[in-house]
Amino acid sequence: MRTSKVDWFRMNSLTSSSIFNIGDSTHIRASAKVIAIQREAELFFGREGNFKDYILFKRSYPLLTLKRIPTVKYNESNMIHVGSVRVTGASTSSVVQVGSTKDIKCYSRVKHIRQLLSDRREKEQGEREEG
Amino acid sequence: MMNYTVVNRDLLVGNIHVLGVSTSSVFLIGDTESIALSSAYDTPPESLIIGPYVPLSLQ
Repeated sequence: MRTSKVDWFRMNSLTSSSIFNIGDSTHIRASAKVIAIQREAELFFGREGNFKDYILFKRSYPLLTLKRIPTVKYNESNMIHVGSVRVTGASTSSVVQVGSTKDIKCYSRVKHIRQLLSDRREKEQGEREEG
Repeated sequence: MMNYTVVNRDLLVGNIHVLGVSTSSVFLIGDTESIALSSAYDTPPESLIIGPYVPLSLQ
C-alpha cells in the first residue's frame, strides 16, 4: 500500500452523507435517499414528502459480484504526491479521500419533482403564500 | 486464466481542481481494491406537476 501526500487541500462543502477522509481506511459505506422538490416560487410546507410513496426507493440495489483477478503489484515508488487540491463540493453519498482503502460502496436514490404554476393568478397566490 | 500485473512508479501530480463530486461518486488519492457505486435518479413525466401548489404527502 502506498503513501499519499498532498501539500495543500481545500474543501468547500460536504452535504448529504458524503465523506471526506484523510488517512487510510478499510471499508467505506455511504447511502442517501433524497426527494428534491423544486417549485416555481420559493415555498416549502415543512414536514412533507414520504419515501414510501415512490417506487424508486423500494427498488433493491443491484448486487455486484466482484470477481477477483490474480493480481501482482510492484510498488517501485511508495509515494503518490499531489501538490494542491481544490474541491468545491461533494454531495449525496460521495467520497473524497486522501489515503488508501480496501473497498468502497456508495448508494443513492434521488427523486426529482417540479411544480410549475399554470397561470398568472396562481403565480400571484403562490407569491403571497411565500411572503 | 488472467494474470494482472501492476507496476507503480513515481506519481507526482501538480494541481487538481474539482468542481463537484456528485451522487455516488469517488475522488480518491490512494489505492483501493474494489469500488461499487450505485445511483438511481428519477425524473419521469409525472413528476412535473402543473397547477396550484399542493404539499407532498405529509409525514
